[in-house]
Amino acid sequence: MKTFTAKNRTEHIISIVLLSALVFAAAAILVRQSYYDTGAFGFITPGAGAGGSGVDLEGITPAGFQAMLNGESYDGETLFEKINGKAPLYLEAGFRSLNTRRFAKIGDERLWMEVFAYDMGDARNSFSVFSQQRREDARDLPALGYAYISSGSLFFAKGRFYVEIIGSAGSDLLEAGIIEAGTRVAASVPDGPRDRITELDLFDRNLTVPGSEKFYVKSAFGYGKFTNLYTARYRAGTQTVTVFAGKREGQADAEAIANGYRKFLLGNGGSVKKSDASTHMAIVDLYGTSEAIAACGDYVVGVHEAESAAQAEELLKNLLLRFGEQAR
Amino acid sequence: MRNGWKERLGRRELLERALKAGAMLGFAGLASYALYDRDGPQPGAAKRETMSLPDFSVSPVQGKTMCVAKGPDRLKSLQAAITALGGIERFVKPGETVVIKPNIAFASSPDLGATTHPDLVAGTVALCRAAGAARVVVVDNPINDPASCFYLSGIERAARDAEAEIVVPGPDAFRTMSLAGGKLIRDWPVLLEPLRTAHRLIGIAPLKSHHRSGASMTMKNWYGLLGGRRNIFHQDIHAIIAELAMMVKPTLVVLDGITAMTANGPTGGSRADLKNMDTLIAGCDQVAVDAYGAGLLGMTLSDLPFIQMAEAAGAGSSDFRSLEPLYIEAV
Repeated sequence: MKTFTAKNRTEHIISIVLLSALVFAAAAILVRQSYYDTGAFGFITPGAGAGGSGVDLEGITPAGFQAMLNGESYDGETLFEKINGKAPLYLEAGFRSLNTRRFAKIGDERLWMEVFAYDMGDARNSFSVFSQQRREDARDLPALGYAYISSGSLFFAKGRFYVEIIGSAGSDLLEAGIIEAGTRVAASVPDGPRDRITELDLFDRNLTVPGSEKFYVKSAFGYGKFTNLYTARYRAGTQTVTVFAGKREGQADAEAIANGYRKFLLGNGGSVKKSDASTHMAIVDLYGTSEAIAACGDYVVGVHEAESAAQAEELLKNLLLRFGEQAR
Repeated sequence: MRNGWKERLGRRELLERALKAGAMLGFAGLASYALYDRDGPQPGAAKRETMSLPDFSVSPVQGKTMCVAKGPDRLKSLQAAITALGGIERFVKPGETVVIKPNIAFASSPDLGATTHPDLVAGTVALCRAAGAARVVVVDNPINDPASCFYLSGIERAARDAEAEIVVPGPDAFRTMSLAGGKLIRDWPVLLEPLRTAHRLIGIAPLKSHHRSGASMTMKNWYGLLGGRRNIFHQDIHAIIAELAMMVKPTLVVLDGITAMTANGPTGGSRADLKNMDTLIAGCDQVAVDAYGAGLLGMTLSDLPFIQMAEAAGAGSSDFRSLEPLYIEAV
């Protein structure tokens, strides 16, 4: 068996120091490389098939239309080059890829449509971007699921895909073609067991304004920890008020989020009008509107921008009753 | 033969080996330091030279810095506003070259309001021509494919019909420049070439909500002068808009709020995202014009930090009332 003298111990230590330095250098290089943005240096060509798998838009041409130019594909690095400042809305909701294609009416080039098929990763993400952009004049198209027509353009969420078909002009002929293209896109997306957003059933149907439900993957109401939050507009007398609910990882997490949101409101100029430590409930006055927040089992629930503290408290009670049953 | 594991090293040999190893490490470190490129690779399109944009502004005239024209007709509003500010002759002299910078960011139908309306481009070209401009050039560096953007926005046809030149910028149109006092526009490619020989620069922007910056108006319109991978500036969107306002000293800006995109900007997608405001603002102070536009969108200056940042940088005044704007009916 080899015995270590003082000299070879010194040699051993120097070797360890040198090897450690090399390992440290390798680790530093790996860390830096993991942040390396190839797109920042022009190594990715936009619109050149960067999007990967997505809806096939080749076979959806409506009758009487023809494809214009080539289809385009974008990924997370290049999405800005298609939709510029709206890209963060998609990127924060799990965006994976975008395929687009234009079709023009044969014989009338003024009438054209552009299909945007966003792969958002899962049904909740696609519902998120769908719901946050809902237009006031939306006319629901239940045949396509979460879908509506607005001023001749079609918007729908089917499975992990959020699809927009934008028309160039107001035209019945063009709208018919858009619906035909949309129906073909929807048919090409297989139904999934989790496509229906069952969480929306937790809101009181009797109070909810139809179509008002939204889902925020991140940072609802500007609060960074408000992730995976569902909102709806409730009728309250002659007004409508936003209510919200989100399932957390457990009761402790729900309570922490409720307390965190209360502190967030206070840090932004709010003042507590009423509170109850047992439910981590707080009614906060914020520049003339009232916010309400509470924890209820695994859920955090609340009211956003109510007209008064009384209105916020009444709606919060309704939510606590409903979500309390769910929590049991 | 020496057996490195079994032999016992002498003190001298150990020190020699340690010194050699240390010297090699030191040499490698110094070489790395000397060869390290702190800036990293730069976008390849631009030639590397430091330049600045010419100053295109006109001399101020008390009470004729900004005009708000009310009416549903873009052309009438534009003509009335320019006349109120002193007439096109104040801004364009015979024989001059005028560059018009519309917002042609997207390959989008003019009906959707995501791009400058072609009627406004045609109307501005016509005014410049009437003033005796030798050349009128319409230019932008769109977000989407340039050819599609110019064509589908209707601006290509409108500009050509009005006898303007269209410049779809290629790589040679950009020059690397650094903005004096700027933190973001440093060694960055800017669409400088069409502006080098120009005498006047007119910006025409649609009034839009913007998911990232809150609003897209006349100052944000200069984003179309940037080249390279400009999307990185979205991380600091208010600062880049303020720097664009510092960089560009236009002759005139026009903000089209006849129909404004009040939701789902900057791309929109439905005419339901638009709202008729029947308001067009023209002015020599882009900060003031945008401050007025913020109000049309129901926003305050605190909602749009870039306005006050641009004012602090000396690009104009957010207190548009202090400029005694002209309010006119254009019907």
